[in-house]
Amino acid sequence: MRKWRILFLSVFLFYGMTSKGQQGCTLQIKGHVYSSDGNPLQGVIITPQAGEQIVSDRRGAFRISQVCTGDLALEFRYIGYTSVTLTYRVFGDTTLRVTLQDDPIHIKDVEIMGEKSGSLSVNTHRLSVQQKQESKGENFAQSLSRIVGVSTLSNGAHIVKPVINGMHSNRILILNNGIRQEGQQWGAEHAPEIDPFLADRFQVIKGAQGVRYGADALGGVVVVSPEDINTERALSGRVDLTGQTNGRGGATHGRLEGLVSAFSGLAWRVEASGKKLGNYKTADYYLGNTGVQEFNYAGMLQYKRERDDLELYYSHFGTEMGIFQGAHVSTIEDIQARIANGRPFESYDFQYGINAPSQRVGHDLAKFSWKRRLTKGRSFSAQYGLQRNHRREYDMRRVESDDLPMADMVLTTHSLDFSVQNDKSTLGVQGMMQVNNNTPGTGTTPIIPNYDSYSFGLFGIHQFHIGRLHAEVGARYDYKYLDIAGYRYQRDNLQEGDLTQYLLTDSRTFHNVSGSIGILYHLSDKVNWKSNLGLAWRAPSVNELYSDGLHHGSATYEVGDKDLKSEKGIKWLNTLLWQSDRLRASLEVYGQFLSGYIYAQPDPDSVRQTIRGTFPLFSYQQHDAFFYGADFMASYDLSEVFRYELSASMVRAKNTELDSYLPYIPADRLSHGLRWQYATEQQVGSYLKLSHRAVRRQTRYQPETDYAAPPAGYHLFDVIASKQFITRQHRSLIVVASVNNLLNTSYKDYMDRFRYFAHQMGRNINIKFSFQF
Amino acid sequence: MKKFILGLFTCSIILTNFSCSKDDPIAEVDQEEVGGATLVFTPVQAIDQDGQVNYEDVEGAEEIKIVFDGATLLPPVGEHYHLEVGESYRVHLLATDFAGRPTEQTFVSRADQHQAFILGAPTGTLDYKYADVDANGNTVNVGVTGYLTVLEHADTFALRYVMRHLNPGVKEGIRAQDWNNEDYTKFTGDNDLDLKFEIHLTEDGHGH
Repeated sequence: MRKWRILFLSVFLFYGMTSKGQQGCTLQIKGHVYSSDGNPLQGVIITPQAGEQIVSDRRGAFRISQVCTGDLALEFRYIGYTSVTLTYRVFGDTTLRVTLQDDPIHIKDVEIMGEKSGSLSVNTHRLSVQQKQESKGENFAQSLSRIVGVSTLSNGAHIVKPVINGMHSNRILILNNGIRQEGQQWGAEHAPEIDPFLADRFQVIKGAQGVRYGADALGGVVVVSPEDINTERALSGRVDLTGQTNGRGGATHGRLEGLVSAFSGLAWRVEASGKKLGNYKTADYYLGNTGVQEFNYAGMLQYKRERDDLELYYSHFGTEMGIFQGAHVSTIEDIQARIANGRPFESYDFQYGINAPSQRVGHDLAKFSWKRRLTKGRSFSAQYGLQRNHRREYDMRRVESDDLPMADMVLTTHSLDFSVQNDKSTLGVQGMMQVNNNTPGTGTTPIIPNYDSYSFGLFGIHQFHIGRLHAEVGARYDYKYLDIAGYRYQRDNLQEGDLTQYLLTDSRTFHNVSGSIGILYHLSDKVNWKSNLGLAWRAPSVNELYSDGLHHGSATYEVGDKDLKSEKGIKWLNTLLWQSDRLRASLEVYGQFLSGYIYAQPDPDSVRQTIRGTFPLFSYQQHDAFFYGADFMASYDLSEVFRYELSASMVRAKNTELDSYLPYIPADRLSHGLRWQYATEQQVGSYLKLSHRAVRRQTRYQPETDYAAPPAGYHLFDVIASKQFITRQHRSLIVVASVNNLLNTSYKDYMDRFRYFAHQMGRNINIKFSFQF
Repeated sequence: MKKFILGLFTCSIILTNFSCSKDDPIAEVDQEEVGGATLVFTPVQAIDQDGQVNYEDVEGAEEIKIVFDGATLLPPVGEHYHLEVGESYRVHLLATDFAGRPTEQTFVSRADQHQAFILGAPTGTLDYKYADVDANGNTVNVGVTGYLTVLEHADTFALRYVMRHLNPGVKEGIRAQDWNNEDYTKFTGDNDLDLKFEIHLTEDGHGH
């Protein structure tokens, strides 16, 4: 922790050294650029008659310093909008408000090309302001699941992972504030270590984005980022408070931000959040030991000059989660008994206390980024990221105290990215170094060994704009080196009938070339077509290569294969976008072929006999697979105040070599609802919404690879009432009251790994306050 | 520009204090696994005193020891054991931990989390009574020590001795009569031991 403080201090001083004023013209012009419908425009290129180009920030704000008295001509350019040159006579410090008019044919490009994290030919889905408000207090994956095509893989209500078009874990990449999130994401019971309160923007890009983001982005990318600091006011902030009946707890979050008056252009932000929930309840019963508590905090410094943006960011995520005790299984016999019972054998009371089995996870992320705007619209970016992920998993122990973790892993990741870009091209270099250590003294052989991993990537993307057609091509080269060391049992060489351990050392090298090509074509002013063909890859994860151990919770014994090869996928994603005055719709159709898809396959002829019982043996294998599916989303304004919203998704996945279904693929689902905006347009946060979620039974599965058939489909109803109060300028209060699972339906979900033992959460009444000042 | 590069370089120097290569792994001895187990069947004499059955040692009685060890933790191949109808046996578990040290007392000292089940016998052929005593001298139902009485003849069958590591609160719902409850899995928890061996309940010393 001391090292972090030193880092903050040194960079703070560093900022100070660079902020000396200059002599000469001293006037300042600042302003905002808006679209014709009043939304701030980020990325507008503003070119003074004489001087350097500047670009508007996320709030549409810009600032020009050292302006001389007299006439000043400013050109405003932004794709999708008509360029304009405005001339001002400047006598003193001036504030401008500029509105750009739409260019109807290319208006859709704004959304895509103004977004640095996105891709021209792949649709970017974002959580709306209202969706973010509604999801406050939920975990990261639950928040994301409001986006069509995103579902969840869960172990109860709190250990939840996002699934994009049927892929999860190492097959999707999470970009947390510009840094690849690196935890122990290989585990199905390892949720992303991200606090939704600390982020303001949630975006999902479903294409195979291997070129832009590197390995692992096979299924898609989740981009999570905070807003820029509000530099318009000396001090501002936000307080969130949420409460829920199911779990009898809630969460709180506070944020403060402002300017450092002594350093022009320097802004700061601090924030913290906490959460505490006890045992949650299904429709009929409590689940024991399912509480959660979190404490997270973050700090950010931003320094902006005419040509440079610097940012220093640090966040800590800390959680402790209980794992339902009834899901701790020993043998196949145990799991089958619980499936036959359909619900837990025991009755549990409500409690906040968390006992074994449980998880404690801490994730620290520090980032330093620098962006310099060069001439002719070019810019250079550099970014360093440091992450430390500390995961401890506790279980009911036989010999030692339950307070001694069964698994204790520390993963440290350094990453360094450089890129150069202009309006049409991006060239980048990315490097990453990882060190994973198992803390000794757990009294159990670690599931994964200690390892070092070094990776390097080089990529380039170029865009073409020819009339109504926009295209992009990209190419990338990746290199990865992995070096492991860990003790393993010599199962094939018994010494006098006893197992002996040996030190396994190994190293692997992976190379890969990936590429992408995509287009955006304006079929009309209402309809756009995007098509993207992307090749992405991932190296087999350490657990797939070297695991050798028992997984409680699934009662399986998993064995890795150190000869696995890289998994490669080519995904073709086609998107039709319709936007008219009343209807907004998108249809995405995709197909993805995966060469060497890696998965744990049960071996019916082999079991692992231990003194605790007999376990089915799952060994990692790879075969070719094919995924395909579609996501549809529409929003139709029935009148000025009523809106109907619908989203639906389906995915199919098969092992093409064995002609068999792949496990844990989401079932078909549909969500729709009616929204009534009962207040004026200024109060967009005042509405009522009734929605219905329907999920079908998953009928495409292999009976021999699962303990139980997928559960029945289900229907859930939710109601949300939101009211926005604007008390005075810059201050607003939003109150959201909602009921999830209104009818207290008892149901199980195929994508919940606890479905063998228990039902999903029952009715949950929420109240959420968000005060902005 | 130079200042920016210098700042970045300074940060890198500070951060290099984080480890840049993996530690040498240390072999863990799996403490959660029982290293070995032995079930000892000692013939005893059951004495009924006013409805209270006490068991006394029989001088010169021959013990039956069934040893489970090695990687497979199975009894010797092809062995099966004879118990006499009408006889009672003290069944005592000897277990060793990862270091070969006796560990069976850990089950008794955590009596609220442990209970053994004896499964697989044809209905009515066996009776069993828990006979564990904790450090305070209280009788507890664990099954490290117990008395097994053979009631009826049965051909060879596989008998299971399962030492259950129970979830918190589960033990309160288990009675002594559940010693042979085939639905023992409803008493949720984990198996610390699952020992299987073949046994033959014989009459008048008539075995094969």
